[in-house]
Amino acid sequence: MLGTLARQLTRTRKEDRGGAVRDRVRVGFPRSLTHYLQGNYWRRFVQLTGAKWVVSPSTDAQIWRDAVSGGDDDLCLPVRAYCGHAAYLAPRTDLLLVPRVVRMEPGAHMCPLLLGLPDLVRSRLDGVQVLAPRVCADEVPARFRRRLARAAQFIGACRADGRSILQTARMPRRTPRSLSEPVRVRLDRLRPDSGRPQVAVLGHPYLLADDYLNLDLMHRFVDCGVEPIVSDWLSPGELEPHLDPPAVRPYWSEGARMLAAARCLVRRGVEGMVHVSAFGCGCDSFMGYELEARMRKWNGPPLLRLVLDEHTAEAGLATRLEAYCDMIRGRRDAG
Amino acid sequence: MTFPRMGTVQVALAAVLEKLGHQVVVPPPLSADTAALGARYAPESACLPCKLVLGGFLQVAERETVDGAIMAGGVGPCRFGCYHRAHRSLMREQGFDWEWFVARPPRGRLGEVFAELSRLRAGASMRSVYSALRLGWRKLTVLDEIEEAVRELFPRENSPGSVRRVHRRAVAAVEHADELRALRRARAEALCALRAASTSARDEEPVQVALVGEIFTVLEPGANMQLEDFLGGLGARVHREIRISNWAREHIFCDFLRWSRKGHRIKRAAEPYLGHFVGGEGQATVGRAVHSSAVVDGIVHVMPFTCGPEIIARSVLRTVRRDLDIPILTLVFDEHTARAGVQTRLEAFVDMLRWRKAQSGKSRNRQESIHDRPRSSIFE
Repeated sequence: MLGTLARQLTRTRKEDRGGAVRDRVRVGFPRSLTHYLQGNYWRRFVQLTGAKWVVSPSTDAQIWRDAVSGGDDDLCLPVRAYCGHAAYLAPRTDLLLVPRVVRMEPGAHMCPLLLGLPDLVRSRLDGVQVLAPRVCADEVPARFRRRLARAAQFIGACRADGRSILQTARMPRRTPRSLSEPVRVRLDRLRPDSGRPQVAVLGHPYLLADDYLNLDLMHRFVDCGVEPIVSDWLSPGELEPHLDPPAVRPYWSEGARMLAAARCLVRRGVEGMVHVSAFGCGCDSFMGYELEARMRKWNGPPLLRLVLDEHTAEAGLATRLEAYCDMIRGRRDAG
Repeated sequence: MTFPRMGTVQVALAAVLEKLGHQVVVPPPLSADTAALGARYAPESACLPCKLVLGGFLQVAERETVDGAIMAGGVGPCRFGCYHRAHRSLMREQGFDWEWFVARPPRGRLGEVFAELSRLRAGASMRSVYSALRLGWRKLTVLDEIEEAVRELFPRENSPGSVRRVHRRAVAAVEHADELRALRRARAEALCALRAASTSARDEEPVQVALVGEIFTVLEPGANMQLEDFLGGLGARVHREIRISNWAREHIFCDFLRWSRKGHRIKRAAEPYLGHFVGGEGQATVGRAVHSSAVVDGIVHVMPFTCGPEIIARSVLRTVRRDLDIPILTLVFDEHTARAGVQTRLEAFVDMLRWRKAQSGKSRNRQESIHDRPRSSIFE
C-alpha cells in the first residue's frame, strides 16, 4: 500500500510536468513550532530519503493572513502561525511532514496542541497528505526506527546510504533555535563590548525566534540598551543541577526547563527577567504563576511577563520594554 | 476534610469520608461568588475548572475550619494535573495551611497511591474501608441512574419543574442513605416518583441532543449555566455518556490494572478523525460525537476557555460535522455569568434541529458539493 502511494505521488508530479521529467517528491515542513525544536533532525531525515525538503519562509503578512483566515478556533499564537505555514506549503508540496511530538524527555509531556497538531492541520486543509511520525521518548529506539523506516517508505524510494543511516538513527533531541539569524548576528557583534545590564529572557523557542510573532522583541532589547540572555543558551549540563526533583517537577518538559533556567540565571546574577508567553498557552498559565511565586521567594530581579497575541500595534510593547529597561538601568545606577 | 465539587460526586465522596471517620465539610453549590473568588486569586489565564475549584475551597475556608482537602492530580499533558500545585500554594498564601491528599492516576506508581490511601484511612480497618468504598460507589451509580432517568423524562414532564423537584428530593434521599438497604429504597422511590411526575403519552418525538466535552464543564451545572436543565426545558432529550461512574471506571480501574483501552469503542470511533491521545477528554469528545451521531439530531460540545485538548477536538469536530452531516454547537465557558447569550444560542440550535428533523421526513437536501471536497489523509 505504501509503495502504491509513493508511486501515485510521483505519477502526479510526472503528469504535472507533461510526463517528461520524473521529479523528486517535495516534502513540506512548516517553519514554526517543531521547526524551532527539532528542525535540523527532520531536514536531515528528508534529505536521506532523497526527497526534496521544502521549508516555508519566515512568518510574514501573507502567511499570517492565511493563519487567521482559517477558522474560528481559539488556537494560541504559534499554533495559529503553524497553520498559516502549512497552508502556504500545501499547494507547493506533495506532502506535509508534521511530527507528532508527544514526549521529548521520558516521563514529560509536550502540550496537548502539539500532540494533536497533525489532526489539526488535516482538518484545516483540504486534500493534503500529512506524514506524522510519532516522537515519544519513552519508546524503545528500535520502535522509533521502524516508524522512521515506514515514513521513509511513504515518502518514496530511499537513498541507498540513507537506509543504513536510518537503521541506526537516534530519537530527535531538542536542538532549539531560539533566535532568528539577524538577531543572532546582531548579538554576536554586541557581545564583546558588553557592559550592559544582562536580562534573562525565558520563553518557548518558537516564540522567541519568530520575529514576526514577537514584534521584533529581541531587537528591541538591544535597542533599549540591555543584553538579552536566552534560557536556551544554557547547556543541559548547566541546567541539570537546577531542575526540580522528579517528584515535584512539572510534567511539561518545557515548563520544567524554564523554571530550572530561571533558577540558574538568578544565581548567576542577571539584573532582570522577562517571561514571554502566548495568550492561551496552557503550560505557561501555570508555569508563569509558579515563576512569579518563585521569584518572590528567591528575592530575584524584577520580573516582566509579556503575553503575546494577535495584537499588531507595537507601541504598547515598546513602551513597556523601554520602561522596564529604564528601571533595570536605574536600579544599577542606584547600586 | 473538604473536597472540590463536581456534579454529584460530592455525595459519594462525603459518604466515603464519613464512613472513614472524618468530619466532612461539603462546599456550597457553585455560584457567581465562587467564580469571583476563584478568579481573584487563581492565575489569571488558568481555565475555568481551576478557578471554580479554588473558589469553592476559599468559600469553605471562610465558613469553617478545615484541616485537609482531597484533590485529584494528573500526569499531563492537560493542565488539570497542575491544579493541586497551584491550589496548595494559593491557599497557603491566603493563610490556610491544609493537609492535601492528592489522588494521581496510578500509572506505574502504585506505592504512591497506597501511601496516599493509607494516610487517608486514619486507622480505620480494611473492612470498614471496603464497606465505605462500596457504599460510595453504589451512591455514584445510583445517582447516575437517576440522572439518566431525569434526562429521559424531562422532555415530557407533567408540569414545568416537577421532574427537577423530584430529582432534588432524590439526591437528598441518596445523600442521607447511610447503608446499602436505605440506598436501594431511595433508588426505587426516586425512579417511581420520576415516572409519576411525567406523562407517558407522547405527542411528538423529542429532539435528541448529545452532550459532549470537557468533563467538569459537562458535569457541573454551576460551570455550564444549568445547560442540561435548560435543554430539557426546551423539550430536548439529552444524551450524556460522560458520567462520573464511567469516568471512574475508565480512569481509576483501567489504569490501576493497566488494562489497555486501545480497543475501546469511543477511541475506535475517534480514530479516523483524531488518531492520538491529546490529553484530557479531547479524543473522547471526538469519539463520543462520532459515536452518537447515528442516534441523535445534534451535538452540543462544551469546553472551558483555552482548554487545549478541547481546542483540538473542536477543530477536528468541524470535519466530523461535514462528513457525518450533523449539527454541532460549541459553547465555550469562562467567568462570564450572563445566561441570556447561552440560552439564546441553545434555543436557536434546538429550533434548527426541530426544523431539520421535520425536513428529514421529506428528502433531506444535502449539500453534495461540500462532500465532494478532496479529503486530507494522515499517515503515522
